[in-house]
Amino acid sequence: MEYVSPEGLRLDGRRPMEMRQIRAEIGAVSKADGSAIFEMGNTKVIAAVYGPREVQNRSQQISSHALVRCEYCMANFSTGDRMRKSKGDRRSTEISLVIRQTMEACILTHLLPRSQIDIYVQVLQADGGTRSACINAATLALADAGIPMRDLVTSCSAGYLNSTPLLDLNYVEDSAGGPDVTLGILPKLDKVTLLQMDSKLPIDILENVMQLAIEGCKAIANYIREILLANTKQLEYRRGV
Amino acid sequence: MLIFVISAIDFHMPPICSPIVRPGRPAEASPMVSKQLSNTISSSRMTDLKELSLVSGKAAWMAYLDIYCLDADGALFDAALLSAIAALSHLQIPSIAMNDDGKIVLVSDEDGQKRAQEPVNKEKRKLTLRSIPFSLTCILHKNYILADPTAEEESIMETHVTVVLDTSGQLISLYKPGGPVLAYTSAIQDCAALTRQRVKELNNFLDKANSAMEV
Repeated sequence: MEYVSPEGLRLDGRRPMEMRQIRAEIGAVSKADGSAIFEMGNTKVIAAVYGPREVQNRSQQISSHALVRCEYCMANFSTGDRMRKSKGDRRSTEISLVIRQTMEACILTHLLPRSQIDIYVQVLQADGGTRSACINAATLALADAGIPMRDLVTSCSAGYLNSTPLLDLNYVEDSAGGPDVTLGILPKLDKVTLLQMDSKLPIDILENVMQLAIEGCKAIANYIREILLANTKQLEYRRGV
Repeated sequence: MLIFVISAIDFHMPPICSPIVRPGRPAEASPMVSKQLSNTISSSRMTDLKELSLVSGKAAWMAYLDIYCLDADGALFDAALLSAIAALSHLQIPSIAMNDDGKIVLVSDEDGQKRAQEPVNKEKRKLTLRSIPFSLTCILHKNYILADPTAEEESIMETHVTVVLDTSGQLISLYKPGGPVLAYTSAIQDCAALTRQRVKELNNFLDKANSAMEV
C-alpha cells in the first residue's frame, strides 16, 4: 500500500512533516484537582489528576517522596469495533506503566512526601498516537492541579514508511507495520524521558525520525504553554487580580 | 418467529469521574444505573423491536449502549438516560445484504456495479422513537423538594425520588430507594409536576441537538 503519494501527500492529505490538528482544554472534570482534554486529529483523550492526597494503602506510603499512580483506560466505543475488555489487558497495563514512569520523571515528588498522586487517563476516541496524546493530556492535568514539575513533558510519535520519515502517525499508518518511534521530552531542559520504538530501523534513519519527533514535541510544548497561559489569565480575571 | 435483541446497556464509572471512585472495584452506582436504564428503556416501549429485525427468524441487530460518566456531579441517572436517548435518536442502521450462507454484507451507497444480493434494507435508516422517556431526580429534605441535585447535595441528603415520564405525560417509572424521609403522596405528585415541566425543556433541547447534527 502507498502511504505517501508521488506528490508527497499522506493518506489524510498531510505532508510527511505535518502534524494533525491539536486542541486542548483545561478543567474538563469539575471534581478533579486537575483535568484536561487533549485532541490530536481524531484521537481524543481526557485526563484527570487527584492529589496530592493521603495514601490509600498505608503499606505503599513512602516517607521520602510521593507515590504516583496511573491508570490508562480505553472506552468501549473508542475504536471502530466495540471493545469487549477496555481495562486490565496487557496493552493497557503497559501504557499505564509508561505514562507513570514518564510523569514520575518530571514531578518533584520529594516535595510531597507521604502522599499519593493519581493520574487517570481515558481514551474517548482512538486514531493512532494514543500514548502521546495521553502523556500530553496528563501534563496539562498535572499543571492544572498545581503539582510541582521540573518541566512540561510533551510527547509525539514519528515513523518511517515508503522510505519517508512521517510525523504524528494516525491509526492506518501506525498499523502498517513499519517502525514507530514514540518520544517524550522535557523541552526546556532538552532531555528525553521516553523513547519507545517498534520494528527494525537503521541507526542513521533513526536519527532523522527522532529529530522529527523532537520537533513535534517542541511544537506541542509551545501550544501547551499557550493554553496554560491563557488559562492562568482567565483565572486571574475571574479572581479580579 | 422473529428474533429481536434489546440493547445491552452498560453504564461505566471510570475512576476519572470522581475522587470517591477508585480503580479496581466498580462504583456501586454503576450497576444500579445500568439496571435502572435497562428497565426504563424497555418498559417505555420507545423503540419498536421489530425495527431491529433483519430477516424473520434468522437475524437481528444487536445494539450495544455504552455510557461513560466522565464527571459525576449528581443526578447520574437523569444524565445517563438523556445521553442514551440522544444516542438512540442519532443511531443509523446501515444498509446491508445477506448472502446465501447467512453472512451479512454491508452495502455502500457508492457501489456503482450491480449488486449480487438484494439489500435487506434499501437505505440507511434511523430508529423510530416514540413516547421518549425523560427523568428528573429530586431530593426530599424536611418540607423542601430540591430538583436536580449536585453530588454534594446528594451526599448530605439521603432521600431521592426519581420520576420518569414520557413525552405524552405518561408515568414510566418511579424510584424511591428508601431514605429517612417518608414521602407523602402530595410530595410525589409535586415531583411529577416538576418532571412534567422538565420533560418539555429536555424534549426541546434534544430536538435542537438533533437538528444541529443534520447536514
